Amino acid sequence: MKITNMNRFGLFWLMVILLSPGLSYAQWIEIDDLHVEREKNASNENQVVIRYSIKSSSLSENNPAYVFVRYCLKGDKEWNLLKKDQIAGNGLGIISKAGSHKVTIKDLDLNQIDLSNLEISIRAMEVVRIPGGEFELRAVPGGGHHETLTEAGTRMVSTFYISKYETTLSMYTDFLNEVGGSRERWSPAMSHQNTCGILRTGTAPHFSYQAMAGRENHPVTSVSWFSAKAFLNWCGLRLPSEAEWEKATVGGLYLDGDKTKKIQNPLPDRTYAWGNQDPNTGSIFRCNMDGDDDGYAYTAPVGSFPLDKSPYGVYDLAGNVAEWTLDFYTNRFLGDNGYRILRGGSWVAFPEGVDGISQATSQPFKASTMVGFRGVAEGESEH
Amino acid sequence: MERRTFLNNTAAISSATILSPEIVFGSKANSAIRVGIIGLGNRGTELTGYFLEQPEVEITYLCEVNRSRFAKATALVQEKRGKMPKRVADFHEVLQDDSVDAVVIATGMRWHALLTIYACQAGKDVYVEKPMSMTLFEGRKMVEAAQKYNRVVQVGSQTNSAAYFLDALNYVKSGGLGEISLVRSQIMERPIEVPQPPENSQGKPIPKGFDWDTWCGPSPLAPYWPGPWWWTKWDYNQGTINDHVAHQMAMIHSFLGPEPPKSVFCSGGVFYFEDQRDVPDSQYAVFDFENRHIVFQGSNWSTYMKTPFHTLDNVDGYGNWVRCNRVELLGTEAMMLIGRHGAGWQVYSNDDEPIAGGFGRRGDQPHVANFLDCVRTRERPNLGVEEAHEATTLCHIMNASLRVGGRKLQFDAATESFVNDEEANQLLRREGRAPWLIPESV
Repeated sequence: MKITNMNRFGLFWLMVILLSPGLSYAQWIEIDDLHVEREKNASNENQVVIRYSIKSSSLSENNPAYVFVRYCLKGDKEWNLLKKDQIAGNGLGIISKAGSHKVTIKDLDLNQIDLSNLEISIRAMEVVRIPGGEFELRAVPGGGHHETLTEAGTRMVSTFYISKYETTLSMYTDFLNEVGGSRERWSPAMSHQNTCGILRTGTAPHFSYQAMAGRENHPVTSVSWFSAKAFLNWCGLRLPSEAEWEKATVGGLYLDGDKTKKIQNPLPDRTYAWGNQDPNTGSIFRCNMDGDDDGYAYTAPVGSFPLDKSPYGVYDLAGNVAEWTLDFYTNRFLGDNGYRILRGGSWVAFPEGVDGISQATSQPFKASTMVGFRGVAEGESEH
Repeated sequence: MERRTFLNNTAAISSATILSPEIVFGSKANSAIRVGIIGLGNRGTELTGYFLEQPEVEITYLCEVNRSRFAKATALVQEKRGKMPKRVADFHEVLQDDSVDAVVIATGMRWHALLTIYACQAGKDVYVEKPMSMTLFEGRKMVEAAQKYNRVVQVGSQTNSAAYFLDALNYVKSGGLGEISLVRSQIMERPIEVPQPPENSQGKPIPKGFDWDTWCGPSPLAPYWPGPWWWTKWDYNQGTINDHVAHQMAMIHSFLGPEPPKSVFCSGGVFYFEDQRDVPDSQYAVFDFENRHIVFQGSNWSTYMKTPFHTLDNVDGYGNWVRCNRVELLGTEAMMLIGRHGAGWQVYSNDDEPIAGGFGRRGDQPHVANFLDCVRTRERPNLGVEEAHEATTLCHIMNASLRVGGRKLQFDAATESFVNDEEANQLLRREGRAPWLIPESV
């Protein structure tokens, strides 16, 4: 993080996170050249403009970045998400090209702000495009009725973007440091070194949070459904529905989506994200599951298992941590505390439990060392 | 092990175990109780957590026939105790291990009786989920097994250990209501559409790591089909209403004591759902006792039950008496309303004034604590198998009346059978599926 040119542009927060060699882009994507300034528009009105540059060389339409901005007025402790309807153009959200980008503020109140009072943070994460179209959702052992489905079968799912990796500790600690570790967002279980690893220091109410050394790229665990939702609201994302999660794992009937239908999914009825080979056939460990034969007794840094990759390129859907989904297990009559659906295997699952079909449930206020989450952004409209 | 060899082996194990000096002389009083959890669905996993909240308890076994279901409970044990439990698919391994003191049976209902009997034979104390039995005969054999092998058996209707329930019970026992002449019990469950296998389905491939045959156990071997269709079948689970009425009959039994019913009449059927269920979505019964009646009404189509009971878990507030699952006791002096899930209790005088009551909390944790206390002290638990069997008998005879077309049935408590009604009597026991047969002699 660095702060530059305060006199001219106000106070900027610039997230610069260098990636370790050999590791995937598991944390925020590197962003540089952040400037905030006032410009005249065609009507000669003052507008606030945010310029930034994404350094990633791997961005594409299918593997874009999701970029979000949070802002705060100096002296005001409330940080806010800059929403799409507050800007003109497409400088935020899904960004598929590296290089310079521009965000033009159209919100009248924001455009009146004295820039010397404005603090900005900008972050980006890698996401994967899941093209809209049909896929075969399969009924699940032990599963049941839930919000979006009454039975297995062909489902139409609109285009969406899903985080390439599970949410990491370093991402989650950024969130905690900004919004604070209320009971809903922080639990002492998060400080367990093997199963999560967030260090909380300081005294109430001024705690600060950081990932323990070496744990930065591990998935955050011990998060309730409500914690996951709070983090994703902070980013402007949401949890995947169960259908979205399963489609991201096993693929639609066409991997390029139903608009073009050029690339057939070779294994639309695959059992695992990677295909049908058992998770540990031939002493090859395709994901982080039960035991330490796979190299990890507990969680692994996200993206550590190159074979734990779905046909779209989403990692760790089979192992590492199970993931919260948006869906209720039964229906809303149970209220906010009704059971939610978990999908995917975890570091403590037997090989039979890391498939793309099985389902588990949990009450949303419960947190487990085997459960984490990832986010979803809405895709372009299908119609 | 081949299942067919189990019974012989169990007999050998049990005779060794029941002579264990540790059990006989109660030396568990000062050491950790070692528990095996059998069945790791939602409830089994929840109970794993409740047991781990108690001091001096080790979960040494997790047992489940579907290997995809171990993870959550395993993570809980790791988290709370820092140890990896043994994880097995075959319950014999748990029962044959002499180091295991007690088992939790949280399988589907079809296994409750047989596993309880096996566990008692193997010298284990038992916490078994409700409903404890699928037939009256099964329940009787569970009682006999617990008595013969001197085991502590607690049945998992947890409200019976909730502090607010015990307060209400004291109030009733102290005579605050006068003579209780009528008890009303109401269940209003949300409607849950349950996807059913297509008619004449040959089933789907059984997932790897899933011992489907053992999962079906004493019930008919069905073609594999995922999802909870089995909730809606008499042969597998007996339905949502039956699931809940066991709780409320256990509460009523505690209030009234072991008085047997003389007759029962039950009407109902499937009026709401349009699927292949054979269990009722509506059920209404009247039980005649010597000097009082129980009136039961249950539905799982109701839109009334909108107040989610979870919202009452940890708050000071009463249930919405109109809309919550509740029991009403009407006495000559006053009337009591009591809900489940921590909904509290209130007593109204004949002048309609609230004269007593208390807010509630769920009973899960106290019920587990009570069981563990009894394992140590060898006292009777709050809902021992004898009391639970008498309470569950009300469920069984009510269901029998419904299934014979709503006939009023005279019940002879001494023989635990209906008077002069062979058709109804046949519903009080079931065939089972070899080798999973309830033994005549436990």
